[in-house]
Amino acid sequence: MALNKNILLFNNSMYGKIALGLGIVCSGIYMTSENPANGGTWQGYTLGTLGALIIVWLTLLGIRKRSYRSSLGTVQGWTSAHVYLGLVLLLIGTLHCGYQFGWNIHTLAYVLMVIVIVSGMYGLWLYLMLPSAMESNRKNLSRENMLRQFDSFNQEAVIIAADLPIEIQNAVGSAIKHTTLGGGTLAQIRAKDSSRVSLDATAPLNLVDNRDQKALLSYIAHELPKPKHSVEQHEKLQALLDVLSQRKTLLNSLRLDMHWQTLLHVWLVVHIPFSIALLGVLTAHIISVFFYW
Amino acid sequence: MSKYHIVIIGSGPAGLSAAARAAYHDQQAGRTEPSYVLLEGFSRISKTIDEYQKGKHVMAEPGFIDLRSDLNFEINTRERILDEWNRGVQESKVNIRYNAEVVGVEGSQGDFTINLKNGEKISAEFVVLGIGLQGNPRKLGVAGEDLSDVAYTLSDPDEFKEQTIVVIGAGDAAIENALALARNNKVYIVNRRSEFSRAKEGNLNAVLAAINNKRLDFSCIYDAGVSEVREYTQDGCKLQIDLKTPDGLKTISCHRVIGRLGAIAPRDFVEKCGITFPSDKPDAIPVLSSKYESNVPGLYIIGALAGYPLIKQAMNQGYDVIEFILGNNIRPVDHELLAARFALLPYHRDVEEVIELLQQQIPMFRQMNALLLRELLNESDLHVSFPKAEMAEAQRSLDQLVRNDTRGRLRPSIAVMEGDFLFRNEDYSNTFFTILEGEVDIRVKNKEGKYLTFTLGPGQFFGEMSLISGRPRNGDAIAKKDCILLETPRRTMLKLVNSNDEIRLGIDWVFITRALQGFFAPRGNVFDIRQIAHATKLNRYVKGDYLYKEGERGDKLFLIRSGTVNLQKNIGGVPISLSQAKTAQVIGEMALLGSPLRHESAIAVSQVETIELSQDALNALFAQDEVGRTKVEEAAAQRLLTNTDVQTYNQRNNRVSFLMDQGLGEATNALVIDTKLCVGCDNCEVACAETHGGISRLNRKAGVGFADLQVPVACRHCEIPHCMKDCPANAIHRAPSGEVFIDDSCIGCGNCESNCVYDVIHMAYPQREKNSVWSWMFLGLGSRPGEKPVDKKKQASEAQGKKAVKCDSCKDLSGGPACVRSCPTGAAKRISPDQFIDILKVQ
Repeated sequence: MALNKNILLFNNSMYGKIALGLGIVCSGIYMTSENPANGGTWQGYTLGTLGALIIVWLTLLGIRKRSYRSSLGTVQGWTSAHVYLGLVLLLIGTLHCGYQFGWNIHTLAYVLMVIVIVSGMYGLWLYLMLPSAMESNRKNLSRENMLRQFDSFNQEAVIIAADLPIEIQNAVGSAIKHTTLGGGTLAQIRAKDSSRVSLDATAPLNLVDNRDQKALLSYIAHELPKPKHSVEQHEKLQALLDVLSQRKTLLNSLRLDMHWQTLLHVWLVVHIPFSIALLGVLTAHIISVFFYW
Repeated sequence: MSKYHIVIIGSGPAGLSAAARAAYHDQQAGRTEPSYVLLEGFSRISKTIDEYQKGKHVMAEPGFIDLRSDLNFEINTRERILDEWNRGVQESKVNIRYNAEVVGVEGSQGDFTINLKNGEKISAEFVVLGIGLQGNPRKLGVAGEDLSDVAYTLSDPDEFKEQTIVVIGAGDAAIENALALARNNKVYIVNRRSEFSRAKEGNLNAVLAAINNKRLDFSCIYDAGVSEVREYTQDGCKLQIDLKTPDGLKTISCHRVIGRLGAIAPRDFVEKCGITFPSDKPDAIPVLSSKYESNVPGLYIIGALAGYPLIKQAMNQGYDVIEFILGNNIRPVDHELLAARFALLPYHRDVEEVIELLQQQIPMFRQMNALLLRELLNESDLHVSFPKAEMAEAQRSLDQLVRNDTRGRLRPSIAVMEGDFLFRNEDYSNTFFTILEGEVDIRVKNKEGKYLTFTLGPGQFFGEMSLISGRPRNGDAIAKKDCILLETPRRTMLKLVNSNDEIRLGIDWVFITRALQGFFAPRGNVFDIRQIAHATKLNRYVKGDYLYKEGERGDKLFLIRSGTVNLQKNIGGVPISLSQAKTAQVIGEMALLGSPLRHESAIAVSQVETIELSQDALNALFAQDEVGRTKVEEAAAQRLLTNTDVQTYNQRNNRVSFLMDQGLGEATNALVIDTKLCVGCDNCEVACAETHGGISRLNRKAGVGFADLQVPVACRHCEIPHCMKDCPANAIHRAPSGEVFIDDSCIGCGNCESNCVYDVIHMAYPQREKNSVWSWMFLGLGSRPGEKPVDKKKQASEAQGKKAVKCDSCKDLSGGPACVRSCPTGAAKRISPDQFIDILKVQ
C-alpha cells in the first residue's frame, strides 16, 4: 500500500497498457483496409462494434459507483479503466468513421463522443491536479472550520474596532456587511470578488470597490500613522490590521476552495448528460446504419 | 435443656428457607411439636437484608437458575421481600426464636450443644449454620480507616443531603449506595479496576447510566486505590481522602467516606465450632462437601459463609440442606443444566461425581469451591472430541436433547471432530480453554515457516494470551483424540480472575512462562523457564507513561504483554516516532546487549502491560536455547535498520507521530484518507450508509488532518476495544478476522457510545431496507437511489428504540469495506499498524 498513487498509476497502469494495446490493434485493423476507409467495411464494423461496446461499458461506471455492495473490482479500478478506455475510444471512434464527416446523425454521435471525452479529460485533469492544490490551500482545515474561523475574525475585528473612532467602526462594519463570498454555482466558479465598502461614515450607501479587501486595508493603513490617535488606539489599529489581513488571506483561500470544489462537481454536469445523449444518438446511429445494408 | 433434631442458626435467606423446608416436613409427618428451631440473634428476620438501604432493589441473580424454596423470592424492593418472607414464616408456622444469639456450638453429629448468650443450652442432632458475613465488613486498610465519618454501612441514604461523599468499592453494595446517595449529593465511586466486572447485571447497567447522566453529580474514578484518609475541616468538609490513580495522586475533600469492600467471615466464631479453613487468607471459605457438610460431621454451612452470597442460591441451599439431613438425596437445582452440559462425557457418572472428579483432576478448579465451579461450568461451553465415524451419532444425541428441552434453557455440550481446529492462528477470539481430559496440540509457525507443536494435557489451559492481550490467537489449537475441553467466555474469566488471586497469579505465571518460552527459548526446559518466570516483574502503564526515556541508563528489557508502545527519538529538538512495538515484541534489549544508554524513549500509547527482565533472567534464558540470543540480536538489528530508514523518510514531517496522536497505536484496522487524492465526493460516506441501513458510520469531514493524511471519525477496531468493556447485553463481539461489531442483541444502553474514546459509535433508530439503484432508475421509486418515497416502517422502527451502530468493516460483504472499494480515486485506505512504515516511504 502506498500513498499518493493516482488512478493513472493504479495497478501499475495495467489498464493503460491494455488500452495502448487495444489502440495498436485497432490501428492495425485500420491499416488493413484496402478500400477507402469507411464505417461500412468489415474493419469499420469491427471498430464500430468495439467502440459501441466500450461506450456502453464506460457508462456502466455510473451504475457500478452506486452498487455499493458489489464485489466486482473496486471503483478505483473501474475509474482507472474508464479513463484509459475513454481515451483510446477517441482513436477507435475516429478510425471507425474513417475521417468521413457530414451533417448527419453519424457525425452527431461522433461530436457528442468527442465532447464527452474532452470533458472527461478536463475532469481527469481536475482530479489529478486539484486535491493537492486544495490540500495546501486548506492547510488541513475543513470548509466548516474555515467558515467558523472567518466568523471569528469578523467578530474579533468588530470587537477591536469598538474601541476606535466611529469612522473606523463604520468602515469595518460596512466591509464585513458587503463582503461577498460564494453564491450560486456560476458565482462560485467565477469566484469574482465583488466586495464593497463605504469609507464615509456620513454616506453608508456610498459604496466603493473593496476587491481583495484592498480599500479597507488601505484605509486602516493610512489611519495608523496619523497623530490624532492615542498610543492605545495605535495598538488597537495595529491589531485590527493584523486580524483584517488574516481575514483577507482566509477569504482568498475560501474563494479558491469553493472555486475548485465546484469545478470538481460541475464538469460532470457536462460529462454525464452528454454521455446519456451519446447513448441515445448512438442507438439511432446503429439502427439507421442497418437501413444502408 | 430443649432438644431438637435440627437447629438452624441465622434467619437470613438460607436459614429461613431451611426452616421453611423443615416446617414443611413436620407438617407432612403430622408432628405437633417442631423437630427443629431457627435461632435469630436479632429481633427481626434477615438482619443483613433488613439493614439494606431503604427501598433497595434486591436482585434475583443468577437468572439461569430456578428458585427452589418454600418461600417466595423474586426481584423486588427490600421492604416487599421482607414482607413476603414474614408472611411465609407465619403461614408455614416456622418455629423461630428471636433474640437468641448463639455464642458457641460444641460436639458433633447426634450430640450438639448450642450455647446461647443468655446462658441457655439447646441440644441438637444436626446444626445448620447460616450466619452470613454480617457485622464483619472489610475495612479500607489505610491510615484513617476508623475515623468517625468513615463508615462501612449505609441504611438510609436520605439522611445525607448536599454533601460530597466518596464510596469505595465496585461491588453491588457500593454501586447501590453510591446511586442512592447521588440523588441528593455529589458522589464519587472509587473502582480499583477499569471495569465493574463483579457487579450484577442490573447494577452494572444502572451505574454506567449514572456515570453517563449529565444531570447527576456522579463520577467514577477507575483504576484507583485509597492511600490515606485524614480529618480536614476547611470548606465545610470533614475529611480528605488521597487516591492513587493512573494520573497520579488525587485528593478529594469530602464529608463522608463509605467503604463497601465486602465482608470477611466471622472466623473466630466459626473456628471455635471446630470448623477448619483451608488457608489464613481473610476471604478463605471453609471446606465443604457437595452437601454443604463441614469437617465437623453433622454441622452444615450454607449461604454467604459457604462462599456464595447470592440470595437465590442461599435459599436453594437452605431447601437442599434440610433434604440432605433428612436423607433425601435430591439433586441441586442446576442439575438439569449441568447434566445437559455433561451429555457427551464418557464417564456415565452423576453430575456431582463429575464435578468432584474435575475438582480433583484440574489444579485450577481446586482453588474454587464446588459452587463457584458449578457457576463456571454453567457459563462455559464444554467441547468433546470424537473420531469422524462417531460424529454423526454424537450430534444425533445432542439434537435429541435439544428437542426434548421444552423450556429451551439447556445448552448441551458441543461435539468437535478429532483433528478439528478449536481456533486458528490470527483468529480474533478471546475465550479461555481448560483441558479436562485428553490432549490438545498447539501449533505455532516459526519464521522459517516450520510448525512447532506443543501438546497440552489434562489440567492445562490455553488461550490466556488472547484473553490478556486482546491480540489475535498466536497459533492453531487442534483437538486430539478423546479430549474434553471447557471454553470459558472472557467476561466470566475476568470475573473469576478478579475475585480469586490464586487463579490470577496462576494464569499470570503460565502466561509469562509461555511468553518467555515462545520468544526466547522455544526448545528450553519448561520447568527451568518457570523458575526464570518467577524472577520477572509484571508492569502496568497507562497511556502517556514512559517505560524509559532517551538518555537514561537502562538495565532491563521489556517483553510487551498487551498494548502498544511508541518508540521516539528527539531529532533536532523534535520528537520523531521511530516505530511501534506491540504484544509479544521486545523493547529496550540494547541495554542488555552492551549499550546501556537508551537511544530512544518508549511511551505507552494505550494501556500497556510488560514483563520486565533483568540481565540475569535474560542470561538464564539464553542459556536455555541459543536461538534466544540470535533472535534478540536480530530483533535489535532490524529495529536499528528501520530506525535509520525512518529518520530519512521522516525528516520533513512526522506523519506517524500524528497517527499515534490520533490513537492509531491501538488500532488494528483504521480508515485514513490520502488528501492528495481525495476529491471530496463523499462516496465513502454514501457507500457506508447504503450498506448499513442508511446510517453512515464514518464522518470524513470531521476528521483531523496532517500533511497529506486525514483520519476520519471512524472505528479503528482497537486491540482491546474500549466499547467492549461493560456491554451488559454482551452484544459487542470481535469476528475471527478482527472486526469489532455489534449484534442484534444490543439493548441501546449507550455504554459503548460513552466508552469509545474516538466518538465513532452512535445511537440510532434501526432503518428500513432500501430500494436498489435499478428500481430508482427504471421504476422511479424514491427521490434518490435507494430512497423510499414514504417511510411506512418508520414508526415501527422508532418504537424499538435506538440501538448502537458502528463500523463493522463490512465483514459481511465479500469484497471488503465499502468505503474503500467505492472511492473513485483510491484516496480512502484501510491500514493496519504494520503498514505505517509504508506510509512513510512516500517522499
